[in-house]
Amino acid sequence: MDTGSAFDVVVLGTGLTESISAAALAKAGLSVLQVDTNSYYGSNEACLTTKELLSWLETSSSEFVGCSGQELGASSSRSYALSLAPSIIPATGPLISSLIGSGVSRYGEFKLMQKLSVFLDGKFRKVPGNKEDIFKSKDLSLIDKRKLMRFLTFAMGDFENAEELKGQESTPFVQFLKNAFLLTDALIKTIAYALALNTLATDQTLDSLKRLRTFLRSSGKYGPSPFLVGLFGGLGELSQGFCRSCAVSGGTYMLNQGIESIAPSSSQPSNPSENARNSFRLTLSGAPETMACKLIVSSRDFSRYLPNTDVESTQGSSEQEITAYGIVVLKTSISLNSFSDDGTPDEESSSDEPEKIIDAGMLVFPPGELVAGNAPGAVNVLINGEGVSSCPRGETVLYFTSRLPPEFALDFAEHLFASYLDATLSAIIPWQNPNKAEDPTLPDVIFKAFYTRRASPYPSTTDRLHDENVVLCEPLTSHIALNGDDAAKKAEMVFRTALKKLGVDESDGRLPFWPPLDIDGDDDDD
Amino acid sequence: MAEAAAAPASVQVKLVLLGEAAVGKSSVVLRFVQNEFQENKEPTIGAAFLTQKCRLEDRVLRYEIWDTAGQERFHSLAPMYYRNAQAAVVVYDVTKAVSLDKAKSWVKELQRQANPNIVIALAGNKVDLVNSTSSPAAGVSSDAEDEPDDATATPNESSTGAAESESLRQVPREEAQAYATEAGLLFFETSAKTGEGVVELFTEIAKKIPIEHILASSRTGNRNAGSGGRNQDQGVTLDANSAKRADACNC
Repeated sequence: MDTGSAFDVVVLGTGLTESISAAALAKAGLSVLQVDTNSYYGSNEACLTTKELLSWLETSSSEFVGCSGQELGASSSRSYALSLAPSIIPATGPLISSLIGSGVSRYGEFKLMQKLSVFLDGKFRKVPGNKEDIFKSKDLSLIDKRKLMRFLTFAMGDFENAEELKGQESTPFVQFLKNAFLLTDALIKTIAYALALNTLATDQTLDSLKRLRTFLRSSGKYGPSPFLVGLFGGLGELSQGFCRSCAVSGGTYMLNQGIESIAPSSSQPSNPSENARNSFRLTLSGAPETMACKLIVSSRDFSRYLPNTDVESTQGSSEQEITAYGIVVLKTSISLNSFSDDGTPDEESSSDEPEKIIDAGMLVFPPGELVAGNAPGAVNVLINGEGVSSCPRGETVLYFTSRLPPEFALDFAEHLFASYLDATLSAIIPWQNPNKAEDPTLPDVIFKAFYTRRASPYPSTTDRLHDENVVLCEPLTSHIALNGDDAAKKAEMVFRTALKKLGVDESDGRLPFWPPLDIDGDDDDD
Repeated sequence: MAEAAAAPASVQVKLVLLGEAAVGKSSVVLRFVQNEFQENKEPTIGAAFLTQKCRLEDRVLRYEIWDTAGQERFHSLAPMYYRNAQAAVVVYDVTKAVSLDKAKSWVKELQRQANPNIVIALAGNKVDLVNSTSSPAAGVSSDAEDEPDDATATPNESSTGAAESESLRQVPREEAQAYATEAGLLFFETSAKTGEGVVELFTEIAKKIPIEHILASSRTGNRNAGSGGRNQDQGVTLDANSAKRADACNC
């Protein structure tokens, strides 16, 4: 029999967690083979062309309810990089640290979020995210400004032992804001859904506060907004970047592979030259020989291929997180002045400054604010303009996301988002005619896709594998501002677990998640 | 709008390498950027991309050269690799006929995946193996040290006698030239080992890059999607330490 090629680790899946893990393992000196059954990188976080997205919807509709997609005159399929997992990245956090630590930040490009608006009382309003905004705001009364300042000072600080929080840790956040800070309903909704980015009215106080503090402390690092948007398809592009980083460190890549079998290696190798520590043999459709490895790191989506794995054990249905998604491409760029109260420029932007396109922005519909809407939680609309390079010039991608409580009965995600899409479209000022706010024609929708997905709740579920030579990567949270950081956190856990299982000697001290970058390696200085 | 006209404009150009394994992709680049390269360093391992400036009369190009990092081996190159590439060098081995076929399929792939205005150059490498004149291309590369050239461990790089060497050639120069002309590619025969043709290759590419177009699109603020121009306006550099620095030029 052939002995095949042998690797320390085979990574199944190219989602963000798997790709970060693969890059870290390769940089630690281990030999890595990363395999995906898809022809594209990124698995659940992939960025796809319109064609790829439509065929993805077809294959997913058997698994999830409410999928639909339609091509209505979009540009050539390849000029799109539409993200299955829309994301905004907090400027400080595990993902940014990993991007910098691994050097992958040099492959990616990022933009600061330019605009965050919240829908209140039938209008979009600018979200006051820092003291300057609050000071300048025309929407807030003096007394509200003072209350809001007091709350933000509290939320920025070490509130864990604060008097206000005692016994309220698991109270719904909106309730806490009302009771402890006597804020108005509009401010409560702004804080809970547009600043802390809560998804449901039941989100608990301590979690919300911690999240809010992370965001507040992120603002100012790269600019006024705490959030960055990745170009060329967001997390899917970053997955590709980590995969390339792995390849540069010697990793091998096989996409579009049929996994024919994964078998445990016989405990007593018949061939004495075979490495006795190899635990698995993989037969892949694209490989001339079988591949052997000591350890498998696998996305949960691939666990059905694994021997001795009890896949069902972690399906704790009560904690299932279900999220509805919509991807809508518009045949227009959007003016940065859209979504302000009256369609006029924000206070300080003077008239001699040329009007700009929104490249990265987000709209938040708090639950219950849109009269015609019936989403049970908040609906977020991430706006990616042409500058984010995931669509052709003169077009805009809108990503709708809304988390659903487990008991919510959804027929089609498209129905859920229909009224929110209408409200968004009617507030858009197309870039071409910024002076014609009254233009009655709505922007053309040239592509749309809707789907729902299940994911694990924010804290990662525990690993209940029976095979000790497998490390599973759990699905990511669907939260738009937490999913990337969740991947980086999970990847570091996978990395640590993998090193331990491989018996890598760390007696001289723990290996760093990212070894120091060789500054001269790919940049030249003299 | 008239301001930046006089100063020599520096433009960053992403260049991707393609070709069958072991044709010498990395070696060609190493020859080109040698001044920056550490001698005992593994070539395809450890370098995200290499950079090299190229000066052309009044303008300066800064090549950002991306190696495949082996991801071409099982046809698993990511779209990221092609994205915003303004130039490509497709390398084949003049002593291996199949490597030209492979090069042709990479050209097709580039035409399908990459920026439609991409400048593509075809490079027939290892021409030192078939040169009947035994003198290494004179006067081309000023700094022709020999050590790191065969860093990809390409077999059969040892010098061969002049008589038998021409018989090693499997791809006639005329055939490759005819294909390149037909497909609209720049064409050079190169030797990473001796340096023959390498600097010319990158200089000719530089001449064909539509620099004015790139500069113009990056000057228009945020209307530069997909064109490869950098948006100075709102792009965020995550790590200030990785900011690009000035570098040497050997062309």
